[in-house]
Amino acid sequence: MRGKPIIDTAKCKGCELCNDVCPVNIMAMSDTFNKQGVQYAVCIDEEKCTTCGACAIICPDMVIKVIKYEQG
Amino acid sequence: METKTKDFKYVYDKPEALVDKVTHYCPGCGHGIVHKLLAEVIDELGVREKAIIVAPVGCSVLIYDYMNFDGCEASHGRAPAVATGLKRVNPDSIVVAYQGDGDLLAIGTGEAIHAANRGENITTIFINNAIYGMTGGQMAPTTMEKQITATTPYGRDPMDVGFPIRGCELLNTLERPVFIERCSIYDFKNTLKTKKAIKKGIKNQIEGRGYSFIEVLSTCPTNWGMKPQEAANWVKDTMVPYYPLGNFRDN
Ligand SMILES: Cc1ncc(C[n+]2csc(CCOP(=O)(O)OP(=O)(O)O)c2C)c(N)n1
Ligand code: SF4
Ligand SMILES: [Mg+2]
Repeated sequence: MRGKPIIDTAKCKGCELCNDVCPVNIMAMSDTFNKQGVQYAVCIDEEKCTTCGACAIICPDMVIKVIKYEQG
Repeated sequence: METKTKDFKYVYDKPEALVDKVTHYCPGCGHGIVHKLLAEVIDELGVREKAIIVAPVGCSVLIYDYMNFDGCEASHGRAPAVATGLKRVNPDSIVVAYQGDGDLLAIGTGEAIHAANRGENITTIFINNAIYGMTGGQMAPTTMEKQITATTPYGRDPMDVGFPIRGCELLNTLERPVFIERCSIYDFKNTLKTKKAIKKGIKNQIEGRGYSFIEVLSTCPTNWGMKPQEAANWVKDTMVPYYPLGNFRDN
């Protein structure tokens, strides 16, 4: 695994922009609801994350951070 | 932003110039994206201690609550005038006027044009979302032809209320602005370009070069009655053909 998005699910407003922007389509929406009453962003396959950061940059609500693991 | 720890680093972390709180913006609103870009740029240029955000009247009226640096509210449309005063009194500060389309091109058209014409050493970020968001979706000067809004229920009729105004082209008739660019946040690639343009606009100010104007084609999913991604697509398909993206001036 190269890295992954870290999602602050409580802050997510459920806009879904990250779902469309992810080039490897690993962002989706949850089945359950957060305290704001919306289905929040989830990463469904961290193994495939390229750590491009697109989801984090497009997120209007600073919900997503992306980390990259150091080699070795 | 590349914070290192033992076994991983952040590819994207919260900018220091952004306050860690939930904004009042609707889900998917373009204002949130542009706020983050501005905060990233302020961090990268190391000017957080000198930065002042001038807030407009409009949905982004509370932007100073979200930016982790100084701020000042202007009355509707007067951000360029307030920014002018702040900058002239504190020439070392970095002053950003952040304005919506109703603010900048309706009630504040005069202030916007004259600040640009004087070549004030400030940076204007102009959020064109083709509507008055805050007040519930009335027609803005930038509302598209045939676009349905609360005050154009049959669609904007240019023979009645004129054609949408192109802000960049208008200011590009003036001599003194040094940087004029139109960008958008409708997709990832353009969002990065928007950040680059904002960075150039702030850099110009740091170097004392003069007036920079960055127009961002943004979204108002709520008042457009669209899901956020549909709104982003609408920017690309409907706004961009009328409001061409690109640089108009880079002196
Ligand atoms: C002097 C004055 N006139 C009118 C208003 C009402 N008003 C508040 S926000 C706004 C327009 C906001 O639209 P825009 O600048 O496009 O910002 P957005 O909410 O779309 O980001 C208007 C007309 C006001 N607050 N003050
Ligand atoms: S009304 Fe429109 S511009 Fe205002 S916060 Fe909602 S989506 Fe954004
Ligand atoms: Mg507007």
